[in-house]
Amino acid sequence: MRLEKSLFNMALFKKNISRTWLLGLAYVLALTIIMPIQYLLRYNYNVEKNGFVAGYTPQMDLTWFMADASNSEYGFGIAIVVVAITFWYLFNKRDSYMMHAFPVSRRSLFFTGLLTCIIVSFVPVLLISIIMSIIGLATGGASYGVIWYWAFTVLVSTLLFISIALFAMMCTGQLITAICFYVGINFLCFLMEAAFRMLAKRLMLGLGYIQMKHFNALTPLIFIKNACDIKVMLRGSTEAYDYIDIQYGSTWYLFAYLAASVVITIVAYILYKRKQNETVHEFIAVPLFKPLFTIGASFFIPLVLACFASSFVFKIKYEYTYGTRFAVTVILSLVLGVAFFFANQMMIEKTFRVFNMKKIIQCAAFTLLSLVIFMCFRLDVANIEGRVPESEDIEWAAIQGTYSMVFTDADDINKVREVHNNLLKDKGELRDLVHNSNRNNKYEPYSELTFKYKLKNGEYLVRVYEVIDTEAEAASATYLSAVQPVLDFINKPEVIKEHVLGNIWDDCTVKDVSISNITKKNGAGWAAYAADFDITKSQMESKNKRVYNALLKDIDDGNLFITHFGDDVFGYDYNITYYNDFSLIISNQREAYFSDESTFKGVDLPPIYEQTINASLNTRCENTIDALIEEGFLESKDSLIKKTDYQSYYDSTKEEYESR
Amino acid sequence: MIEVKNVTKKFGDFIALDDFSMHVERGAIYGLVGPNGAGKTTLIRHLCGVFKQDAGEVLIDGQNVFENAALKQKMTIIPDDIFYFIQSNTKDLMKFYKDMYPSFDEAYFNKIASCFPTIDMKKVVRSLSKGMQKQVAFMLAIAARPELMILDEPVDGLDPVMRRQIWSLIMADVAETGLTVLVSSHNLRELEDVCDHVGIMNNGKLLIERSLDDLQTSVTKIQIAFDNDEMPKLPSDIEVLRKISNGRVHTLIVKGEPHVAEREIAKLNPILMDVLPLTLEEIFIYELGGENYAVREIII
Repeated sequence: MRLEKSLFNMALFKKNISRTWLLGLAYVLALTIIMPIQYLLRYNYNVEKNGFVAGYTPQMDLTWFMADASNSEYGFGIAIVVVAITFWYLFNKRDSYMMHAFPVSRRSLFFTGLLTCIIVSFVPVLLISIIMSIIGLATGGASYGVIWYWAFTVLVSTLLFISIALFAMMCTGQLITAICFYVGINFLCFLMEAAFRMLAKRLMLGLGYIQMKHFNALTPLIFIKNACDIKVMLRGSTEAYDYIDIQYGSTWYLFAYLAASVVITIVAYILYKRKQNETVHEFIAVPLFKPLFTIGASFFIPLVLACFASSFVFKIKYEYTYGTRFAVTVILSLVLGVAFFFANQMMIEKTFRVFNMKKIIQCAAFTLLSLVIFMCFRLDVANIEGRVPESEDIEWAAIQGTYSMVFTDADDINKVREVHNNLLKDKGELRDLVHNSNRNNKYEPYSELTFKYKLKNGEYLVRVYEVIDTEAEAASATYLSAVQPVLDFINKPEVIKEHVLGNIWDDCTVKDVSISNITKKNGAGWAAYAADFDITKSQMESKNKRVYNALLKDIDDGNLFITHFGDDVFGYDYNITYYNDFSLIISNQREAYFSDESTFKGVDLPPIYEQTINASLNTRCENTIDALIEEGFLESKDSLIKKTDYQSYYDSTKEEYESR
Repeated sequence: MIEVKNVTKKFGDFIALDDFSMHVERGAIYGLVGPNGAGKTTLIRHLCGVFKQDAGEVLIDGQNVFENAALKQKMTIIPDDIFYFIQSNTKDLMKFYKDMYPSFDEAYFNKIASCFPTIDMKKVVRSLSKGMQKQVAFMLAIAARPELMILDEPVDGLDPVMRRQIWSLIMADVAETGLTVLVSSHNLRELEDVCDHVGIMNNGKLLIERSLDDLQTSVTKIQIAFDNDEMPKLPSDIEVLRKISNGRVHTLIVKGEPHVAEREIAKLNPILMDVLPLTLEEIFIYELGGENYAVREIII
């Protein structure tokens, strides 16, 4: 192969390896401590403490251990370090000039460097995977599939992060800036979305919801962890496990990332080929990126700062209307945008002399563009505020007030859409709701009402509205007509039973009932639970079932799990709610429990067949309280203490204790 | 060997090389001189393939240098600010150069090493003194048996003995292998001893390029005295770069063929006339004086 066509240079490779082998060794040591050593300690503990009982085997344990292991985080960390060490010469004039004066092409420099990075970051992972396989074999718990899937995930994510690191290195002539770019690129999509959402929260109705679980594929560090992770579930009863259920993450995503890393590497190589050596020490080395960076940084950073400033003003002055909030955010964004525009120019051109006519015209154009974007938000030109998805596009629809309720039935979905559309009829009423309810410095508590739709294309649409108590002074007739249908819907007993208790509410055994008996005499202990009943399992379940039926009656009577707006986050009315912990476990081994809460949060859990229901009993729950007393779980009504009483008692004992 | 054709290089608004052209013959020792900021180092970086010109061509052996690894194997560079790998000693670097340059001669390297007894081969190069680092750079560069050596202030920081040592090794190589050397230096007296060709550049342009002999004969210092204090008017075909009068004695720096000037001035019947050769340093100063070089007034 002709030298100028060669991708590899042995002399350079040897030199690169001589500079990076210590990093590779440190990586091996770190992984050895985190993986094999930690697992061996865990294995030893299980052996000594009889952990491998009731069907729980070393294989299950190793599978569980590997499934819990970090994956993309390793690649994220090692990639930037190894790339920075290998391509360090790009950030020092003397080194860069000399390296490029040697008889080696940029192609060789790049691909030999890339190979070095791959070897230094891959070998430790492969080594650890081999060690884990050997340990698995030796301990009788070989879970090769899980081990090597983990290795594949780490290697693919490492390759991806190496490519991003290379791209970042080629964009600038400063090492620190390259590292900042690396982190920035990895979170660019999320940061941009967060900035827009912050703006939307201030300028639009119902927006501003950011849920960490919804990182998309452009934020690979988190997305790989979520989408490509291994999920395991022990099957069987708590007395004896039968087997372990393993769900591998999406291999498709890993291959997509693999392809993306190849593309990004090629782009980085092209940038390197075109990189001018005189750009060493320059903030941005690629001419095309200079305006992109200027516009991006001058738009988003001021936007975030303005949003924070706007919220700060809002916090100290509740009389701040939507219109004022809009004006403050926009004006601050524009003013800060101009400042950032010229600051960026100064950084890029390394001079304070940037105030020329050309730059001033560019800045004016940029400011005008920003203003147009803000006005588009304000006028909701894309109909974002008023958007409610079509029924056929929805996989499930959810409402979250005090409780999360997820509806998958077509009729229910339509009902959610209906109450949501009704709510949006008069947006102006909701927009300045908090302002109107606090007009005369009279604070009216508000809570959040969330509508969430999971669409069939995998996307989510979430809208969050601030709502006040429907009986509050500031609640107008228009407001009531907007929100009352929502309350009427989610407070229906059948909806509560199906979505708060869960889908197995009418076909379940009640495995356990528990309520704390609280007396002031208990001193520091406070709570006491009923002693174990000396009866058979079926007798116990019958006893539990009677309490459960009483609870259902209370739900039917509208005494429990009722949502009010404007309450605190748990929906407590402290004057009537008891402090006592009350819970019961419902179970159906034939039908998987559908968790509204987990589904709403987007937590993808393996199937479960029992669920603990926690309820905050209140003075109206006579049926349940009577049943608890009758069945011996609660000594008497004296064992119940209201939250307000508990708080005052706690405060007095605290004072007493402190005075002692 | 080296052909630079109409090369322009800009850094922002600053023009570092302005339609620059030069030519270096194979086997020549070419001295590149010019004031600070003239563009010498920029030119050298183009010749090394470090910078890419905005316009024009930089050819060595008829080939473009930029991204031409095969061509770069035939040339070595000693920059003013030398780069060494961290933690590498001279032996490590020798191995690196050996892998990098196919013509690297290890035996020759060891032979040269004996000429530099103060260099500890096992000591990390970055911990050596600046002068010693230069010696290591030189050992490595010449042992690569290049066809072209590009040197930027090569003996800066070296003691006189080492300077002589290095130059004698280079001269020997030039004689034996036909090595071409391009050297940039401010030490004009030294260049005068070793160079056979000289290029004077300023403001990104090449002012003069010719053999040192031609250069030295093309500018002459003539001291003349007349009976009267006032010097007769010189013929218009004599180009006087500088004229210094001290009573009846006048010193003229004349550009052009010295014999012609001597003959023409003789016609004016001076009572005394001496024709003296100019040093390279004087030529440099007088030539740049005409280019509005700042030092001109100080010299006068």
